[in-house]
Amino acid sequence: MSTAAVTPAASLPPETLVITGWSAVSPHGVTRQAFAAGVRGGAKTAVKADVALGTLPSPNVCTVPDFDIPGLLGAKGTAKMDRLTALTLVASDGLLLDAEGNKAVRTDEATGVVLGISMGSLENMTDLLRQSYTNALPFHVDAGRIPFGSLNHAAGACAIRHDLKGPNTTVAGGRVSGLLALNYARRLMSQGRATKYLAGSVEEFSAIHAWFEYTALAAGDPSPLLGEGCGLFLVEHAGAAERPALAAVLSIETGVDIDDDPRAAVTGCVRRALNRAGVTADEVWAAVPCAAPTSAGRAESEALAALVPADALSRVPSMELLGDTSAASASFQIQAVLGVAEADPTSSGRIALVSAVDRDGAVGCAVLRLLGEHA
Amino acid sequence: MTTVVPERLTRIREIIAENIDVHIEFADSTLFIDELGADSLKLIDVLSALEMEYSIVIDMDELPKMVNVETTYQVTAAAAGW
Amino acid sequence: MSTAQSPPAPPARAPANRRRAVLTGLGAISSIGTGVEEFTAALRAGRSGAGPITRFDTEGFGHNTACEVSEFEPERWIRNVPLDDMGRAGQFAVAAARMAVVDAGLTEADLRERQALISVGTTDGESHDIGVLVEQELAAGDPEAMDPVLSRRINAGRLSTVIARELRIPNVEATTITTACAAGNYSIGYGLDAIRSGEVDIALCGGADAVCRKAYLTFKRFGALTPDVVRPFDKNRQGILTSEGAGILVLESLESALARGAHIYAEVLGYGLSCDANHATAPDRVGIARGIRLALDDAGVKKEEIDFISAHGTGTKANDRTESAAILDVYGDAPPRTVALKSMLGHAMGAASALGAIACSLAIEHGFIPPTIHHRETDPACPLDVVPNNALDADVRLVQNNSSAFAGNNAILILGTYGE
Repeated sequence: MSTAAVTPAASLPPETLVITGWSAVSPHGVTRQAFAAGVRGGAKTAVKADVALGTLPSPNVCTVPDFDIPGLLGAKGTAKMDRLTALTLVASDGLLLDAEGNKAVRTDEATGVVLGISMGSLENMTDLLRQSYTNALPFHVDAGRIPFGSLNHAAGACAIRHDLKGPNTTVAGGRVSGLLALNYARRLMSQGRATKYLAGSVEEFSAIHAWFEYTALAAGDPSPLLGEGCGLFLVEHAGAAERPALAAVLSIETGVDIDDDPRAAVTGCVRRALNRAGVTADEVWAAVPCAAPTSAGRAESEALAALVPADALSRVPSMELLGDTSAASASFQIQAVLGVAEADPTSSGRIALVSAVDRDGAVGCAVLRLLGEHA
Repeated sequence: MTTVVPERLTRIREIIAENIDVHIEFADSTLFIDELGADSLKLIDVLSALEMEYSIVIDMDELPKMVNVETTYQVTAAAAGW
Repeated sequence: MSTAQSPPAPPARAPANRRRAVLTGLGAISSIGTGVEEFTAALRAGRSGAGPITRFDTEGFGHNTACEVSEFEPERWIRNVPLDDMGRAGQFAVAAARMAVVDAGLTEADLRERQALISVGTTDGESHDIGVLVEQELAAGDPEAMDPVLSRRINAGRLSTVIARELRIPNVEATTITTACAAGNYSIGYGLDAIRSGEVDIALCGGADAVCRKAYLTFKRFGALTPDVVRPFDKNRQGILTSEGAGILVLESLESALARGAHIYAEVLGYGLSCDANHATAPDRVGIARGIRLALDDAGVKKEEIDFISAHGTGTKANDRTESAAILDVYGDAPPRTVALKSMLGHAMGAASALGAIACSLAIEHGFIPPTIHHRETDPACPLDVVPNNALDADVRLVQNNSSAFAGNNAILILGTYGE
């Protein structure tokens, strides 16, 4: 098998899932271009946390810069909006609208939305609970904020904003959730429930999220540098795609580490994903682990290092530069590969692999073939 | 009818504008649902914000009476015993 | 943002040669009974799960009623994973999964050898634990006082991965579906698609939720809590009671079930998902009706063939009138009998439609239609036969199980007798 073969999108089986667009709202900025440039330049994103966040377990954060919610989304409907919904809506605008704000992607009743999360907006949820515990009466809470506390709110709000009436789903799986979301889209499209999907994942930074993560630390793990953001993809079937394919999703495999052996669980999952994709580990051109700042994250990196060529692991700068973006991470990993590939004419036809491990035991791996055309 | 205290009226107007999410000028007689596009759930947001502001309880059955700033003031005044 | 000038999209098409999926095991934990036998008896008898809340302090709420699961003994079902690794919702999910697997006659060795899917739906996950953590922080005035045992287990993803760990299934796609109060049906539908596609042989699907302050204050704040009992579709309905529990169903490819001679409760014939794209919290007649039509089409069933509908039927005016109108939009003026299990169970959130699907399977298995209890006078705006107060013996072949959620997510499931 040649490792340099260029496979045009047209030669793919028609039901292959292809990525035909993406958007990222990330610590590099609110646009796809800012993300791609930041990733390619290996830019650091950690900053001193805003004092408005109060006391934090560690001083630095990787938050989305200049994230002015009413400025980006308008005053209407945003006064009480949670950050997670806002990140999602800004990303959805980036995916579906052109620079003038007009719809650039055709959508209809067969356009689905699937969004991966960890636990939604913890800030919204804990603020409501705090009001309930401390106000004169336990139901004296800001009712206008309640809808944003529903774990499926962001996906539903995305549907309302862009009139997307197809299957609308939210999946929770922490760092693996971006892969679970892509696989959900793939499966429902294969069963004819949608012709096109917005699929991705999102995480928000908040002080309470930082404190939950801090108190949850395993002995010996450092206080994590936390990130946030939303990565969304437009996915279609190769045979029906209305836009040029940037990558084909050859396989997505997930599993659960049942033996407290994350290295073995990742290794098994990656092998299954490569098998299903019909490629060998030697063909992998870029491999991006989630780089979680935990023992499982270190085990994940060791597992990949033992499987794929060394230069594949250095093709894309480490995800550590974005902080631990939790639920957003797997989407950002794929987008980091796409960002590097779009500036590298030798990438077309190459194989990319991303992997993820989560505290709750989930592991995942996706194998893609890069298809971006270069002038 | 309770005598209207101007400072309270101003604060109640602010609470209403924030909770029914209007960003234009409106009169004390402007109808929330018919003229400002509010729905019954937005009125619950108004009710809950008024309850918190004044540490009172407004019976949900009063919601249909809260049609504009004037009547909302009266409902609030009655609940607060002003 | 109009797309009016665009050509119409080609309709999404279901592939040919898809595999059939049947239900071979059921695990139910509910406020009216735990285990298939107890749950069946409670459905037939029209039992009410309502009682005083014990799980959190309700002082100041002016209400103190919910449908809690009493005398839950997690250690009866959970052997391999420490109980502290999960909150109450996770314990419900794992215990119901163990029950369902035992009911299906599957051993851990059977499960290890197969490609499997686990999908668990939830509204609030371990939000009860999140509430406790906030209390700890407030009491100490210091976030470092929060208990790490709880903060480690708050993410909803754990509800499904912990089932894989308990049942020792490594090659499994474990996904938690957080589409609020429609999540149970979503999860069963996902299992159906995984089996139809040939990618897995077995799917453990359903939903789990635990009574928590967050859900209670939400419905209290919206004026949606009933002061006494739940009377769906009744002229004098006053709202919901929050509830808890889990329903997990074993979905299995027909080939696999037949090969091992498994008992088959029912066939999962199809489902439909629709999104209202309209309002963040209000139900939408058009969206629900579209979901029902999609489900009937997917199942290849004519609407005249449906024997009864298990409604979302929360007992709020907004839900009941909207859902009733949507049912009439699809079925015309002669809709099937439409029952509301929430009159008995309360609203078990993400577990609700999973327990509903189990009830539908048991209705098919045992030939009865469960009742809508506490019913006095049907709302003229909801002209439905709700099977008031007493179960009916009936030959039940095809059933529709409705669910809707905040954010405009509707999921409708169709179950039927398994026939060769």
